[in-house]
Amino acid sequence: MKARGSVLVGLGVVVAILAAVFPAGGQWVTRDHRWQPRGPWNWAVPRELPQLFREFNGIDFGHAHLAETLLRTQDPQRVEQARLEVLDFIFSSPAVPPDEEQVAPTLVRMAWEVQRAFNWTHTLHRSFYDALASDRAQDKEGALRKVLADYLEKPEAITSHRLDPHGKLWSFPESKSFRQRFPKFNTQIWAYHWLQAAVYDVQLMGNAARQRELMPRLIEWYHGYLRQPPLEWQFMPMLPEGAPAFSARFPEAAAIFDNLHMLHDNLDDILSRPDLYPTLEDKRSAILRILPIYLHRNHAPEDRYAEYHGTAMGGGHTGPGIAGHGQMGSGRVMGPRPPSALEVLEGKARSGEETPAPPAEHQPSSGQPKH
Amino acid sequence: MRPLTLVSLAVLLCLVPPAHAIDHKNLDEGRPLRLEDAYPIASGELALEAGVGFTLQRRGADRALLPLEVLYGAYPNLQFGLGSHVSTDPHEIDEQAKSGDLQLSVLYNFNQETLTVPALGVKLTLNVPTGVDSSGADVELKGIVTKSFNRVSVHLNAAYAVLTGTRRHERDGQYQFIVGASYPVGAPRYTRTTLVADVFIQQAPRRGESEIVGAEVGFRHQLTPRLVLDAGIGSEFTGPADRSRFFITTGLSVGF
Repeated sequence: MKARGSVLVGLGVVVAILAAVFPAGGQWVTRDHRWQPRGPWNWAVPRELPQLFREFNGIDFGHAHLAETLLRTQDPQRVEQARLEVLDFIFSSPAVPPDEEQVAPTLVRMAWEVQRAFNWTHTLHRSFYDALASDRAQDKEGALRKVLADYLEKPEAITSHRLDPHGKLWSFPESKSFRQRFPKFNTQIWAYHWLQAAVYDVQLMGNAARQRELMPRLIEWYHGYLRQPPLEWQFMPMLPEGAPAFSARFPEAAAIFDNLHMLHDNLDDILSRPDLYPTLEDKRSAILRILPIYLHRNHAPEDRYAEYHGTAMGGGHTGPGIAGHGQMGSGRVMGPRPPSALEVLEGKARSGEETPAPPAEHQPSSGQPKH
Repeated sequence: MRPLTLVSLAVLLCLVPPAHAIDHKNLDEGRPLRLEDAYPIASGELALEAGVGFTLQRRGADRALLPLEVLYGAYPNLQFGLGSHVSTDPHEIDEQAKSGDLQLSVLYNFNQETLTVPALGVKLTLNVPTGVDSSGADVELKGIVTKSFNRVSVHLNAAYAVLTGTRRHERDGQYQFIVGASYPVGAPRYTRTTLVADVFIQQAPRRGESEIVGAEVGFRHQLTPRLVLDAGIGSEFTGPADRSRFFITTGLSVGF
């Protein structure tokens, strides 16, 4: 009897505390933090391609620091300062991934739903890199298809249907604002996305040792973009451009990663328009209006956003959807486009505006990469 | 657990290759403080947490402690734990959890913290009397709240334990309140080290004795992407005459 009374007292204490801190209304969202899919390839990138691993860690900081900065200021000088801080961080060659929840605390609490989608899709990204970097995995293709199926089962998965990033998904009232207001930072982010794409094709060129041999040239090219952002790019780099072989082999994954990158752009556009979305609640609402378009559960089995689908881009740099240098199959003029990984490695990525200028416009305070 | 086993375990932990994503700011009881946050480990993650600690008693023998716990993220937002600790001078322990007891726990997180809603969690722990001088099974229910202000996170833990097998002069129920905070020193650019501090109050094991009040401070530092080092120190300022004058702990957490 006495024990039962003690239990009731304990429960009462807990309930009283919870009731005291819990507001009447608010935003309720589950955390759903997921560990990476298990396989013999786990952690192959840090083991086999440590230089690349450190580049990816820098990129993780880049997105989060930008978002938190835009939530705090629109002052061009302070945003430019944040860009330089990102460069310093990347060139410091960070050994561990930054904790994005601590880099961008306001963003993750304001719109955890979109951060959760980012997290799960970044985990998919890492799983693909790991599997392709591993010499331990026997049937990589089969394993990756299983990983992909497992990814798509989760409610926060981004759709594998190829959406239209250059058209309807970039035609919202705020669209292109970030590119117009902060063109250097914008193309710096596109450079991250180019590297994330091009790496895949290098990984398909051989085993871990071969990848280790080739990867520095790709990373050096990417560093050129960081030092001199390719402002001539008018649209974000696409997986079929940077990694045509990977995109042909894994078209669903390529579509997911392009959709992910476009969602990043949508987010940055929203955060760049305080005139349209002055409060955090307004920003959250704008983000949550766009996010459902990207979620796979809204495309299968029933497609609620078919009007946002794009044209297929599975065939390579000048394949379906891209007509030669700088023009979409739809007739949309794209301007200068980024090279494929193969073009970089063969020394064919050179002409005109695509070539990063050799002298560094920005010299990070921490100097050159410590590779 | 023999010291040699713990040394082997520590060596093993140091040899684990790096990986992507242990949540190094996640606060679990004992690593390094008693303070917990409302979040479990990721679903699908397996974590091993081990350490060594010392407590200097105002009265009675000073003791060394070797805790070990395995955590598993069984489902989204749900974590199971299995742990134990061994202690020198095990007959000197007044608390209900004795040296060699097994602790089974389940932690559930209801929600992610947002701008307006704090993160809420609840933890149920069963202490199984498998150790030296153990006398009965105990059940503890704990409510956990995490609310952040910019990069400072404040955590509130409120627990009540129902104890069985106690003697006449001992309590058969104990409450504990902990309030503390964590802060990533160096953020946003540097997020590898989190400082943690708390103050706590809990009922003394024996009836008629005043509550134990103390404070502790520590840190968690990400050594590699999968390996976290922690350390903490603390003291019990008021309470029974045989309370701890000073305690210190250090340990490692690794995610698989």
